[in-house]
Amino acid sequence: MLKIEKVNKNFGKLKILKDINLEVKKGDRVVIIGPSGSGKSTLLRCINYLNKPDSGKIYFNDEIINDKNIAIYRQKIGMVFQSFNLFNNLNVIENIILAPVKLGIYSFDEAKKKAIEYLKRIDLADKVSVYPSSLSGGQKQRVAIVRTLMMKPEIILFDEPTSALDPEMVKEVQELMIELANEGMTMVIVTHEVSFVKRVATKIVFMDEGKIILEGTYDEMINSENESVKLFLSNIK
Amino acid sequence: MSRIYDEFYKSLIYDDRYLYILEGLKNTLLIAIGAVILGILIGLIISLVRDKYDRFKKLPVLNFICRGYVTIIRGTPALLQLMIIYYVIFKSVDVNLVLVGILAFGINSGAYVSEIMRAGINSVDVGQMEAATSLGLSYGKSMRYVIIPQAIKNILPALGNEFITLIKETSVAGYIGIMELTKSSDIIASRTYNYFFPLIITALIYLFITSVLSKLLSIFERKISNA
Ligand SMILES: Nc1ncnc2c1ncn2[C@@H]1O[C@H](COP(=O)(O)OP(=O)(O)OP(=O)(O)O)[C@@H](O)[C@H]1O
Ligand SMILES: [Mg+2]
Repeated sequence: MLKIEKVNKNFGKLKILKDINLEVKKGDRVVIIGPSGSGKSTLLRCINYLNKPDSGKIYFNDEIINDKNIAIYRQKIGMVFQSFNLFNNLNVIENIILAPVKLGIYSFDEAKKKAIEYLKRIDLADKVSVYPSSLSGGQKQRVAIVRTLMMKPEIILFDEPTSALDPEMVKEVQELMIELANEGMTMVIVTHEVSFVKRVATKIVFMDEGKIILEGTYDEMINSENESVKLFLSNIK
Repeated sequence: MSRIYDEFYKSLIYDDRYLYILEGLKNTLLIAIGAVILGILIGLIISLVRDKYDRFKKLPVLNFICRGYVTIIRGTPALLQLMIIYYVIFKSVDVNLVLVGILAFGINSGAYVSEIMRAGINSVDVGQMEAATSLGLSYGKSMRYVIIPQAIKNILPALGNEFITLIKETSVAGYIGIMELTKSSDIIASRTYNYFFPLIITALIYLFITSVLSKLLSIFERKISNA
């Protein structure tokens, strides 16, 4: 579904991503781990061109993503941010239906109906016309996930979706993600939550200093002899 | 005491001279309101061109023109701009003076408003644009539905101040013969040979308008920040 080929990204003179290759197949749940500053967020953001790669190719369903077609692919590649980024000027349902209505995925009425279905599912049907500022972090992130789902994405990128949350709210977001996983959603997730990684990942990618050091299953990662992997895992447990 | 009343009578009541003041007030408000609307339109366009350039390096020529415009307008006196527009551009055209005033002060205000708007756009968290973009919304749609509404909310106080500034700045419009508030007091004074009353009265009118506007603005601001 998604293929990243020799992607490089620099910020000024700093090389942040170095020849990254990664393949994500339909139904995969790829978890990216690694130390702070290793380029995990940058890699995710290169996939949907929030940061444009300096070189390399990104294929989505065998088509090369470029400047011209990126808007179309962004509809199919959902993204969930650490800081939620709900639109502050819009209430919950407006947040959810803005893009699908403006981009013609749904008519206004269909979008509303669909949005309310989703809100019921995440137990926030009573928050339809509430503004983001009066939601808890966990509620905000679940609304943000629903906002992405409304675009009928084929894959969703999550950049530390729970690390800005109070501990008691982490679970409600993770449960929603696991539901999506069980429904077969393809996901790429950056996270530090080891127990969650174990439950959700079909493949784990370890990044360090802009490179992918190791790719494998949870067990392979845990049992790795690689020094930086061992150091990282011992630090986050 | 009766002398003071006498002067007051001569300045305002006699010969219906207060009508000058009313006419001046009307024109001052017309010019200020027209100019602030025009200024917001111009300012919005400039700030969008410059934002697009800042983000994507698109529209370099337009961006250059906009920057030049802002530099020139902010670097020269408003009265001079008014004179250039009236004596040079509308030299031989029969044109409504109030319209010239609106145009000149609107063009002037646009440069200042564009800077206010830019600050407003930049004050919106970058995550808002990223979220909009990542959903597939174009730059234009993201700006229109997400960024601009938040930016406007952040800069409403500054825009209100711009309006208050304009009301005072238009007092130089009398120079090209526009009958605005300051000019009207000047006309009355030239009839009565007494400057005190006409000037004090117009000063009080300016003060009243600007104070009421400031007050409304701060009430409005409080409303918004509570919402
Ligand atoms: N827009 C930018 N301009 C300049 N440098 C940047 C920019 N974005 C990221 N960087 C730098 O790139 C490096 C990698 O950042 P990135 O956010 O991808 O790391 P990360 O692995 O996600 O880290 P963390 O776990 O802290 O989120 C960091 O050194 C960061 O300072
Ligand atoms: Mg990061």
